[in-house]
Amino acid sequence: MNDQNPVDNRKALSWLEGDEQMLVKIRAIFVKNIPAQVALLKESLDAGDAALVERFAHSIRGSAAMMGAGVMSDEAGIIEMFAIAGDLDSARAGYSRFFGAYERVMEALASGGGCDACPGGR
Amino acid sequence: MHVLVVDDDEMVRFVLNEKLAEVGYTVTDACDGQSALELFRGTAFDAVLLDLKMPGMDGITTLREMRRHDPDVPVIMVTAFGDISTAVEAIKLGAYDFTEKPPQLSRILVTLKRAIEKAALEREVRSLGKSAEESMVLKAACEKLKELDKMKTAFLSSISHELRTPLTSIIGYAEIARQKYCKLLSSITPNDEKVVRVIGQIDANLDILVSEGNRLADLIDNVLELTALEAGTADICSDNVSLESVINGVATEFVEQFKSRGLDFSWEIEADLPSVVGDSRRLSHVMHHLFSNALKFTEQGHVFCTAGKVQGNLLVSVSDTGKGIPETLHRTIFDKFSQIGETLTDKPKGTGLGLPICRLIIERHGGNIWVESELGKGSTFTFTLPAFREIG
Repeated sequence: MNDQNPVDNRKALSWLEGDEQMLVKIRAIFVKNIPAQVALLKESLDAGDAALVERFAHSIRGSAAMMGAGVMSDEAGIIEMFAIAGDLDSARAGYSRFFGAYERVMEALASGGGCDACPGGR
Repeated sequence: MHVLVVDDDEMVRFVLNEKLAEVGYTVTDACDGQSALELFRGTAFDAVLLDLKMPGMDGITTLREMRRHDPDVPVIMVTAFGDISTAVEAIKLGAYDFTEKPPQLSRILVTLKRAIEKAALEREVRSLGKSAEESMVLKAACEKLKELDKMKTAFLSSISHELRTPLTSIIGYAEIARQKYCKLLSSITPNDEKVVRVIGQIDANLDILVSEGNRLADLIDNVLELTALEAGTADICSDNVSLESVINGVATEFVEQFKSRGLDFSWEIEADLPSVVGDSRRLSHVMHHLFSNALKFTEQGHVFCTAGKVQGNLLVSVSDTGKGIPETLHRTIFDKFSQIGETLTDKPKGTGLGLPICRLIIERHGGNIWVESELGKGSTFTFTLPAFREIG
């Protein structure tokens, strides 16, 4: 993971086998969908619903990984593991770290931090 | 090829949709297990890419339901971060393979292609197995039919023997009564008109009895001959036979009969006709039957027989100017109980066994027999026999 960039486009492009146009398209889907999922994760944490926490954390973890957002994916994974263990306090504690990672990813994407084909360039 | 992509992540569905379509797959996608099952039950998919962890019905439950509905469609599980234990469970449930998320496109394409090919091969193997099974059933049925046919032939042979023995006595004693006792009675009472008339009537009745008895005996002999030829138990000689002698002998017997019917009858045999290996009595029977048929079915004109050599075979033809045989009967006429008399006159002329016996005799000698005929113009029966050697 590149500390300077919360989104590793090489990783994202690796599973897309270098298709930058495709990366642009899925980035748009990610940006459109991920805020609602993060909000649902927060709501389920607040409601103490471990099953929902696990489900949303899992989804976010997968989507972030596909975008090359390794830190965000890892942090979501930690929340998911705590939720599976039923330890929602630890999950909540992890949420702030996750949210920080999430914000950095969204900023990077908004500034075009990604492939040459993405708006704003690399 | 139609693939169902099931994943709650829109990005995965989008990418797989695009990439699989690029290489020629038709793709339908579903975002959860429930809607995937509804699609699966209503559409014939060639393969399924199924996410393991989804909200609502999870991948394992969806897989189980899919296998219950159609176990032949290969399902490839897509699992996040190598959840091996769940993936193994999926394989145990019948999933073809699993791949990690993010799904590596090249791996997915290879796995998908292999899965579809394997499913097609399995279908083919099952189909072949079914064909083989059907073939075995047919073979068994065929063997059973052959067995029944043998039993029928044995029964026919047995019953014919049982009929033939008393019939011989009936004909014999009727013949004796007609020839001996009727003449004796006539000589004792030559002046009693009433007695003479009654004796004459008895004589005529006995004549019919002998004649019909002989006809029945011929039928039984034919049945016995046919069953023996069919069963392969007929004792056919393998002598060096001069077909010229056979034809000359039988044709000579028929000269007077053709003449009495007002028919021209002649035969022509190629010089130095080779001999054949076979049974002269049975070959005589064939010639006898062909001349007899020509006599029966020719009202006017001529009957002509030729024999010659054609490419290592002897070819014998008997042509007549009779009423001819419909084309539909040209093949069936050599089957048992097929009587051409029914189509030419009001009542059958014969037993329907003569030509089948001829066919079997000729075939046992390694030859063929067939008929060419035109209604209203006449018929030509031809048979071939392998030539043995030239008679010098």
